[in-house]
Amino acid sequence: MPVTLTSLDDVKFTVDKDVAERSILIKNMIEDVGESDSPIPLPNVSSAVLKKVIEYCEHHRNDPVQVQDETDDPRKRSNDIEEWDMKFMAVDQEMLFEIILAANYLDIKPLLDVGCKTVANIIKGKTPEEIRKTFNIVNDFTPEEEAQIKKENEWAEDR
Amino acid sequence: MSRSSRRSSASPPLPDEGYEEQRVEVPKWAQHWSEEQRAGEKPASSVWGPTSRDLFNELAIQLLKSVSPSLFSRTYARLAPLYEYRDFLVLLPYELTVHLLSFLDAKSLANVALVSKAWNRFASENTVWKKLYFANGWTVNQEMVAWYMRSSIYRDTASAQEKSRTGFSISHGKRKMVDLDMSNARERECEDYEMLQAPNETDEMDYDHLHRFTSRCSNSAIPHELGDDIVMMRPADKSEDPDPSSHVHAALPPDQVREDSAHMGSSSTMRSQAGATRTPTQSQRHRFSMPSTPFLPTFPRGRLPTYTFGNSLMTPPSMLKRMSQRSNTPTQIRIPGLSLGNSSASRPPKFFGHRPNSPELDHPILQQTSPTIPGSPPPVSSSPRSSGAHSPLAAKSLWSVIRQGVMGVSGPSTWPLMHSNRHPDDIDVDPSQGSSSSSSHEHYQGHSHHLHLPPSLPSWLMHLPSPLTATSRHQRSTTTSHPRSPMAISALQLENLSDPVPRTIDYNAPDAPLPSDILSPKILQIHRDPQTLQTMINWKFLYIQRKRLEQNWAHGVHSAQLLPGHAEGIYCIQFDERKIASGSRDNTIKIWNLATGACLRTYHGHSASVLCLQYDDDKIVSGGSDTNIIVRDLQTGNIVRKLEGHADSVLSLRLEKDTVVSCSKDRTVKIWKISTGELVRTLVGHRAAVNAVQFSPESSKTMYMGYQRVVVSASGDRSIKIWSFETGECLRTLEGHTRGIACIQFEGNIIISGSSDKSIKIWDIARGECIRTLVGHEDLVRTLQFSNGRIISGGYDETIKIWDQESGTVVANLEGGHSHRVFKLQFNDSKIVSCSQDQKIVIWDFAVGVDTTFLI
Repeated sequence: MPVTLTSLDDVKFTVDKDVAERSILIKNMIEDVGESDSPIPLPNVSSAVLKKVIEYCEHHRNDPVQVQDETDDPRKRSNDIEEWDMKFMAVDQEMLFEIILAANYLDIKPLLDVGCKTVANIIKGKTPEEIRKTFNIVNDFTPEEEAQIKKENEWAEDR
Repeated sequence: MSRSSRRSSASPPLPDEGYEEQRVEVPKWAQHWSEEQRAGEKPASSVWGPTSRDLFNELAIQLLKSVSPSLFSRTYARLAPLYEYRDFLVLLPYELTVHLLSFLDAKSLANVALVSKAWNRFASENTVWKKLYFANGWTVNQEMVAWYMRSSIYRDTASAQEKSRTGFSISHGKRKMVDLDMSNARERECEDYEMLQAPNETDEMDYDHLHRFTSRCSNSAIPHELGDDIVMMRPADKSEDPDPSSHVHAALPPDQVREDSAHMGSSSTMRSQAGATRTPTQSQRHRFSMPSTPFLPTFPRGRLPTYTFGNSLMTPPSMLKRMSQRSNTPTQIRIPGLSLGNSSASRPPKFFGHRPNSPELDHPILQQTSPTIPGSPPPVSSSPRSSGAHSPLAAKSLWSVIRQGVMGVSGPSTWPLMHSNRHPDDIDVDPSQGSSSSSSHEHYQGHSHHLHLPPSLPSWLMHLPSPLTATSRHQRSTTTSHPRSPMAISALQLENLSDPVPRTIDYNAPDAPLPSDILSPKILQIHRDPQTLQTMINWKFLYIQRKRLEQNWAHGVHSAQLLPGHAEGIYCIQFDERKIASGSRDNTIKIWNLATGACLRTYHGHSASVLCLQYDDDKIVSGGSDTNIIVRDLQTGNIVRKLEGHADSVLSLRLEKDTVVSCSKDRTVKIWKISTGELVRTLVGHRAAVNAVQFSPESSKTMYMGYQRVVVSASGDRSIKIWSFETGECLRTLEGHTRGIACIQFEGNIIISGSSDKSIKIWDIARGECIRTLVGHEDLVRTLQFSNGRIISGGYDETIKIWDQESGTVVANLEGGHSHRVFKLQFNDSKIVSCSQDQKIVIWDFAVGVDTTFLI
């Protein structure tokens, strides 16, 4: 039974129920309301982002549902991203940002994690100056402050 | 704009011909808006109506529509880059930012901290560091963390201070519950960054408190010139003062008194209710000791102090001098193992962990002696009461410089604090001994006498067996780097039966000590919120400490202490945070204070070598060559039960609650019940001596071939057998070693065994096969333990090797500690304790420059 989703800008998407239910928010809504033909409004997600999110959900429709504990087990965490996800996430910062927000709003934990990991991987291995350039951030430290923080964080360097 | 606002603020609206009010025409599309809406506020009337954000958007669009195309294109050019970039950390909701940062490593976070002020704040978030800490698979002492978070001691102290100043007294004193889940406490955690840098004002308060307290102490009935030992003894002196603690209470603000007495009351009743082995005098002593040490800057469980003895680099110069001064009196060089009987009546000199705590700076002995040793810090700084850090006399010594370098600790030196590394339970003097008054006086005379001797190198080192002297000299020439050899410490002391055997601290007990009782002010300061003064765990600090500790393990950086313990080879040891128990070929068991190296007890009873032992909170069980297993009370040493039944030496045993499993040279494994002394079961099947045994604990959840509890034994017949604990049937035999097996450990689905074939094998129980063989020892592997991916083994080749379980490679090879076969070792997250045929116990401490509070 297909489900109809309505985006912020009133674009309607019709997807299979199991795809839509990758989102815990939609799953709970369907459970609460019961089966119905009326479209589900998603007033926080634009059509461009929703299209992308549905693409992700369709690709991952057969993934085993993640148990909450498993994702929180620190030892199982890793920054590895599947190849498909990596390609999927090769978008501009605006879209990446919106996907993370949408994944959070729609409660799609794996997508949220992939989004956060992608940003984390962008930050990783970069010098502060490179990070600033990547995200267009102004350095508001005085040289003294910068030196002070550098000194405080010396321990983090691998010996 | 400014003119109109000025005008509106003028009180009487006078007509002004020179000024024409400009009329702003409200656009058509906004004419239906209410005043609130125009002000950008959400209309209160309707929940479903347009939000201020919608209205703002509408306004922006209408504005843009009104501009000319050329201006619009210019605006667009300016705005476009903002859409291209996203400042994720700042723009994302807080929870998501924390989640995002938790995917980073410490090094990247250090870079993030340098990007901008906003990013710096996020990179210092406590929650981020907490996640990062656990993401490494690291553990903390959960009970201790919970205990610390339960107490809001700082608040209480601070408000008590406040009250004492203002004269108010508010009913107050309950320990408050603090939400342990830091993720809920966003606002205050944002202050972490400042917290790491800002000096805080309340520190002064604490010391203020401390000083007032100590001065009152000395002004009350306590003869300060005799120091702490005498103070502690007063409770025994019943005729003079039925409640000596009242003197101390007089010095405290009323609320503090109420709280302290409530705490003490509960503690003493708890003890008597428990009906444990504690005598009334003991509880009384404990009770008295509590108020006398309210803010003693102590390290929990002797952590920091142990390493300070370890090697010359870290020994304060003045300490070296003291060591030498003491040692110039030959009668004081006594190796406990060589001493016979109960010669402990004469109190041994204590110059490491038991220095007198003189409450006043003008201690006569100290006055007398301080000028005689120029160049050494004034001995007065050894008084914890004067709290070295703040004493002007504890000026920058060489030690403080070293400490800064090694520990990365800035600020005033705190090394004298190590003399107070005692839990309130570890009081030197037993009040029940009437004669100890005079003996402790002798102790003081001795002290002053020795301080007059000219400083020189520790000559007592020369009296010791050559290997030690050699390694000690070697020690001095090396720096803190790869495996270092141990140096003898202050263990040349006789056991003092009056000291209670320290128990592990039960943080869940109602009478658990308060954080201020056992934690140093510095630690208390680090782990609290600077704004609210609430206790909190500073996870970044813990992360840094843990990382240093792991780096020390990875690089083999450690300090070593040596307890020249027994008169013969030592076969077995066990240790916890406060004590070590050892069993020797000299037929005795000794219990040592881990922090001071003092021998607390010697238990006789076996008629031959003690080969194995294990203790728990109340009892100690040992097996020996005399075929007997002896169960004793840990405190008193009274024999509770003898388990007789083995036909030959008891080679190994394991204890859990009421169950003992033992294995013997007679080729059997026996399961015993202590309470009844009953032999429950004998496991027969091995074809040679059974050298090692282990069994799954009662709470075990792993199933082994359909059985919940199993016994695993290793034998000289080259096999490992897995038995059902309940039925005694042999479930599986693992074969693969080419010679006899000396040691095993099993946990979960893994068994690791060490053998006479010089190899270590890792076995998968379910598959029943060897999954890896570690080669590296050059002789029999006699002892091993594994935990958290780390295997540590000791062998007849006199070395101890640290292996990485994952890769099977040797991480560090500890040589030079033992000059003979290593018989047994045990390790925890910060140290290894090993014993050997060379009659020595070596404590290899990897927490060099690490504060392990809360870590272990």
